[in-house]
Amino acid sequence: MQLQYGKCNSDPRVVDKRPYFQVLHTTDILAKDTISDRAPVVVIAAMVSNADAPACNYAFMGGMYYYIDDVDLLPGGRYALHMRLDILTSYADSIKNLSAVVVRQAGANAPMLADGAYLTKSNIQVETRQFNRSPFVVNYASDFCYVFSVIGGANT
Amino acid sequence: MKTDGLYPTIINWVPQNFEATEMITALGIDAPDLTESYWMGWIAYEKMPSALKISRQVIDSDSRTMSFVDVTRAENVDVTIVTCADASNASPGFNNPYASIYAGAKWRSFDTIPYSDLYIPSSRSRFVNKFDVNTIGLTYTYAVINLCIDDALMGCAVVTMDPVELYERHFTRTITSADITKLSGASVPSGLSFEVDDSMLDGTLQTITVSGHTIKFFVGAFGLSAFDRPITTSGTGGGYYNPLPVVRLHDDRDHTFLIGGTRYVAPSTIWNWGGLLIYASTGGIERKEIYDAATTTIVGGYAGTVSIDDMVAISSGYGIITPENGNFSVQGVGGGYVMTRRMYSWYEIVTTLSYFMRYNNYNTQNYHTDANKYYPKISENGEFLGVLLNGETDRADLRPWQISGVTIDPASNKYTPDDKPPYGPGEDDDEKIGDSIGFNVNVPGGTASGLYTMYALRQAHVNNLGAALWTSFNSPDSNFWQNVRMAAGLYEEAGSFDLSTILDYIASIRIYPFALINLPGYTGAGTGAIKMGTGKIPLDLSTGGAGNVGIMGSYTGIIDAGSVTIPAHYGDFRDLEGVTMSVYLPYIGNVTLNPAEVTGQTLQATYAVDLTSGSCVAYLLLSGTWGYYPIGVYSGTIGADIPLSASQGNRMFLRDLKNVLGLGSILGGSLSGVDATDGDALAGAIGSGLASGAAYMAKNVYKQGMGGALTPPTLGGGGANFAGFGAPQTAYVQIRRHLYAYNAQTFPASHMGRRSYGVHTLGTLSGFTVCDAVDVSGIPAPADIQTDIKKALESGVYL
Repeated sequence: MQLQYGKCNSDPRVVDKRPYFQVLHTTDILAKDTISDRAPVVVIAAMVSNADAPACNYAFMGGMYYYIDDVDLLPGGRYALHMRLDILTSYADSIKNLSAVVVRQAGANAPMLADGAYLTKSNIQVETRQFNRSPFVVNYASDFCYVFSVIGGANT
Repeated sequence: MKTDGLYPTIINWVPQNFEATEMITALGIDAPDLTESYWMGWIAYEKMPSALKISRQVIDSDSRTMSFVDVTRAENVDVTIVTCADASNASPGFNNPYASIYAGAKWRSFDTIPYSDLYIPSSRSRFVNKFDVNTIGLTYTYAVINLCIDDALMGCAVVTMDPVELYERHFTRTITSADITKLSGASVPSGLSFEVDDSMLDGTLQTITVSGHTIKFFVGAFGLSAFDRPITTSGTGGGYYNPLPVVRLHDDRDHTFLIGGTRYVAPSTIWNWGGLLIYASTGGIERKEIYDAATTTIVGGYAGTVSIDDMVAISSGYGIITPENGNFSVQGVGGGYVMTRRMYSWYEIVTTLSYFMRYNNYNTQNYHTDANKYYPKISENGEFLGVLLNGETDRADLRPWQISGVTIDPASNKYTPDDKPPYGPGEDDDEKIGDSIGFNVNVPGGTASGLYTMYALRQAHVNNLGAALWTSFNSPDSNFWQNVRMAAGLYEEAGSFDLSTILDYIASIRIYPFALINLPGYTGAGTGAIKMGTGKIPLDLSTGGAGNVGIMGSYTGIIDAGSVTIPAHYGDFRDLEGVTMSVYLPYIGNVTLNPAEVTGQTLQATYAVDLTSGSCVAYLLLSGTWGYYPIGVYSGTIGADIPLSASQGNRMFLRDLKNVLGLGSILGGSLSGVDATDGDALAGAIGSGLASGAAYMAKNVYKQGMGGALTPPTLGGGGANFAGFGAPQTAYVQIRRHLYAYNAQTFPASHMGRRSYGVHTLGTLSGFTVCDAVDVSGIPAPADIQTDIKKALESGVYL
């Protein structure tokens, strides 16, 4: 079985981390005991070429992707890689085929639904929009603006 | 459509019965969601499959030629806009006796570079200049605003904007005196500065008051240009021309009036126009004129029937704009400039509204000086790039404003794949059921019944009324008192007039903040004299140049108080949540609005005024293609009483005078011993019919009244409700909203994403995603891993 390990700086919540996985070392390993698929511990030889192994944080083994949570230096020049299954990337293709009710989404959103997670500033913007015209702009000196009401009058 | 014969290639380029869906079906292409819509005379495609290439058929109905325009959806393009316009005949292959210079351009798609072609017959010089650009952008749109200032000046101003702004109908521009080009009339007042916004796009006449000047304006035409100003051509005397001015006449108005052309003179005030064909009917000014941009003068005027065809004919008569078999020529007077354009070939510009980026130096002339404008990057080195930003290959999970170095207003990028503009101004998003409401403007007034008459006065009339009722009291020989005596039967023309009701016949005098002659109930000018009661006491108020008084034929007045469009600011929930709105209505006050009800709509205010009491009712309406939809009715007081008939002193005086005159009439005795030398002619006259004791009383009462002891009627002063006259006279809407922070440094990544509540295949999404009710049983994994995947998806992942 082949073990690839290296670095991945992707956010753990990224489903498919494969584009961001930089493989630094590849080595063949042989299972000598039962291996946990969720949290395997792999012991490899420490050599000059893989002296950066303690700095590695991601691995691929047996078709699965793993976080390397810890690296122990064992007697006899060996490294023990404590790994943890990355369920998102390991099953990324299956996850992408899922259909689900999406509550929040960066792209396919319903823009008219209120989103309480939006960050707002405390200050208020006040926008004033005037009506496009006003009938109440008159020349009081010359326009007919007075109504003089009398009883009887014009038709008498 | 009123542009036949002028822009056949623009207006008729799409066969009316040729729909995109038919075309897609005919071609057997799988694009079930493709929609084709028309926007500003251009075509917009939405949900166009990436692999689809549409060979769009366009027909020039004038030249009967047919062309094809290839439309390709770029990657991540959500809305693809295609505009086709004219490319002039690049070669001087036509005869024009007036021609001194021919200019044209060819600009064929994004896979070839455009070039211009300039030919000067006199020198047999021809200049062909490549536009050394590898990026073509639909960069510039403009609106031509027609202005009328103080009904004395007609002019225009050009407002420019991004296509996005125009598309979203969301922009504000400031126009200053320097921006206004006078076309006729008085000089442009200095110091003007006012804003226009997208509410003008509907083409309705708007009126504002700026620095004491009444400015009426409406948008006359929209234009599109690939460059934001003419392209210079070296070696031709520093001339300018823009190869791509495309002017689309406003087809919603009868008063469309602009024809733009290319000019070949150094730009001065209007740098982009060869000629302006002008029609305006605002504020009583009606003009049809040709503005010669070369000489900046009006070269013709005409008044007659309004139609575009007429205007073309008129302009042809002046030799300025000549329709020639579907082409049009713009020719300067006196050889100032000549520009002739053929309207039968095509070029295309494809762009998108989704991602706009900034770039400079897009051509070697570098005429682009506004670094803040955004342009779509269409092609580079012959490769169609679509909307990808330079150096960016896969940033679909980022919002544009989060991409470093690009500062784009979030509002410019609200069209994500599943987004459509939620609404726009004037759009009929809400379902309105029922009948459109209207107003009754024909309430019979007192003139019809003869019981009650309402005269419309101006200030000079009121002054005359005051003189009659006040000054005449101190002038016993005045006409007023002559009439009184006549009415009282003291002279030969005895009548039955009851003097006790002189002022009882006056119901009120009230001032209103609007011109009464504009009301539907105004029945025109009456005579100079008003009459009261039986008409035996006429008061001539026309003296001193006041003119005739008017007569109101209706008890009510219906007043259009204008409208305002409330556009969406963000285009999403932020326009509705946490937003408060109110509208100020003059003479009524502030009224709270529901943002969900009015955002994206046009609000109109109509006042119904009770002229007998001064009260008013304002109807707030949403207007749209479905008519008027009332959202509120509010009452107030708009007329201010001027204390005239309510004068207690006056009434006391009249009561006393009535008693004396009535007594004298009964007694009918001689008036001996009355001191007529007091100058009290009326007292003397009264005394002739009174007993001495009564005469004495009459004299004293009379003297008290005429001499000032009694208070004569007064005009003016502080009546009620005058405060409203000093308040703002234009209604306005006030919107209070929170500002939103889009700083990537402070905006937690976990907050990315907005509400969706849709069912999606996760592989089609990108970016932060939170799922609910996801079924993971199909994942080939142990149950515990399935459970963990479900938890992860429901807490949020990045796809």
